[in-house]
Amino acid sequence: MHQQNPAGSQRPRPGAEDQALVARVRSGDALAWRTLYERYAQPVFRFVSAFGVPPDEREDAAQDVFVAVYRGLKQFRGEAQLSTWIYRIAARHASHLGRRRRMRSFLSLLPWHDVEPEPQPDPAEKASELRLLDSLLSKLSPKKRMVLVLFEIEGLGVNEIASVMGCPPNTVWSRLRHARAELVKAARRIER
Amino acid sequence: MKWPTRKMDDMERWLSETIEAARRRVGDEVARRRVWARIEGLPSGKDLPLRRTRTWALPALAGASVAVGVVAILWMVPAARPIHSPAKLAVSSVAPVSPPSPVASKVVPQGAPAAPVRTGQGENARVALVGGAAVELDANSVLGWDAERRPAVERGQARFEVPHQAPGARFAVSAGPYVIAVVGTKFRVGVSDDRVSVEVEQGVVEVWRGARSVRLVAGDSWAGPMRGLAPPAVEHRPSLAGASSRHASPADSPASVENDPTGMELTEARSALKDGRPEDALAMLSHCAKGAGPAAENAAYEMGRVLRDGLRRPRAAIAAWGAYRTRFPDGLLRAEADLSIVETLARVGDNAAALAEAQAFLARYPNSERRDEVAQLAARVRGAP
Repeated sequence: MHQQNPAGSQRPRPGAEDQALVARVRSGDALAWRTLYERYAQPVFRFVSAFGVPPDEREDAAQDVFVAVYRGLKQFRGEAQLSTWIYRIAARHASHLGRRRRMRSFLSLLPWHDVEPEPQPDPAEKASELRLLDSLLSKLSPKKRMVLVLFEIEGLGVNEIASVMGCPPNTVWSRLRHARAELVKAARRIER
Repeated sequence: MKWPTRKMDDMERWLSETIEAARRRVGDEVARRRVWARIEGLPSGKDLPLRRTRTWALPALAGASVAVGVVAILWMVPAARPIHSPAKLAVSSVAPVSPPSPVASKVVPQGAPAAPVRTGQGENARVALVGGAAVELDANSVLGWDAERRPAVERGQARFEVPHQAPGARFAVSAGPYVIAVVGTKFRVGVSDDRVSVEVEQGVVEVWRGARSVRLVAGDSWAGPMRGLAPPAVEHRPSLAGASSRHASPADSPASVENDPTGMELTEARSALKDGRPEDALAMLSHCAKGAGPAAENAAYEMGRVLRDGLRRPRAAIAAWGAYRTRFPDGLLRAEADLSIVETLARVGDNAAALAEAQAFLARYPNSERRDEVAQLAARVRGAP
């Protein structure tokens, strides 16, 4: 069901199995839908977490992603791997939430606007290192953060990331290089 | 992380290890289960889950534009800058609100749902419902009662004020093909020829259509297409008359109380827990756990969390998770329940039992992502006096 990718994280194995699964879900097979969810729920939750969706919005975000997946299955032609396609949906949605959050954050600076409460950390994530990593990742631009998260945490290949983000592979490499450098720089700044 | 080809320093090593930990990030399995409970019915129904929108965006953007304009003008004309606080400037830039015009007002006594209440041009009405709920009808609106004798907004705008309901009890309003269910809140319902809208002022509201729902919190608004005026199908949510002392029978009340085995009670329980009402949360979960399906399983597991973290009753929590294991021996939250028992036993100082449970966990789940965590806990417990 899972394969170990070059970056070390586990993600679903693409291929004929996914195609058969999609066909079964399309035909209304509830068990297949559950299988698809169980196969991809953890990557989707992990991705939205790493992309900066606050803990109290992750459930809604994951729900929206899977509703979009379900809606889009009729149009899924199998030209991309199912995982790539799901990551693309999750990336689009997480980006949308990020823009909304930034707008909210900007508006909260206005004098008559209620101050947005700081999102509470996920109690399931006890490790303060992960929170610190999230804070460092938040200093990257959304595009660089997405490349870094997809490559380093989700373990996607550069071509797959290019497909998710709709940009050439060389752009992915370039963003990745800059993202790494900026991450290290941000970490050193905190260290000091 | 495999970036630098040269030797890594401490910071790079830390980053590498933390990214490695992020790859293994398990997250909250209960959250995943909750999401599943909401989307599991998708293949069986034609309707898709309803969506919500935030009402703050447009007014806030308009406010931001005004503020930017005011700031720009003040910046360009410093000599004319008045000594006002920004808040006063903002307020003065908002168009004045006209005082409410005098209108006729009807008060319909509670328990009189026989005929629809209609308001004409320039008229409004206040309708008292049993259980302390009240509805204010705007002009040109109609409030009737559906086949389940729930208040039904047939046309126009209505604002509901619903006092907090007893655990497990729920107040429901119908609007076209939708059912709006609440525990205790203030919200507006609008019905026009082609759509139904809901705006939440306080509390939590769920809008249902068939087996699909959307959860709205204060500040949210939502609109859905009308698609005919048939009352919503409620057969999947049988009436729970008698399950609570606050439940009203259809014969004496326009407000009926419904049960939703697919997760609504869980949502309310979470909301109650967040509001500092763990007893209410526990009552809701206990009620929900008596049902069937994923929501019941979630509730059976979450009872333990409420008992331990909300009510500070760790022993009762362990018993609740034990009950979960008995009922759902192969449940999706089984590993979480096992782990919670290990952690809680260690927390109350029952080291022998904690160690036994930890060893059983390691034997049962040799490939668990939580294995390291449990092994560490077992080592700590073993080393404890």
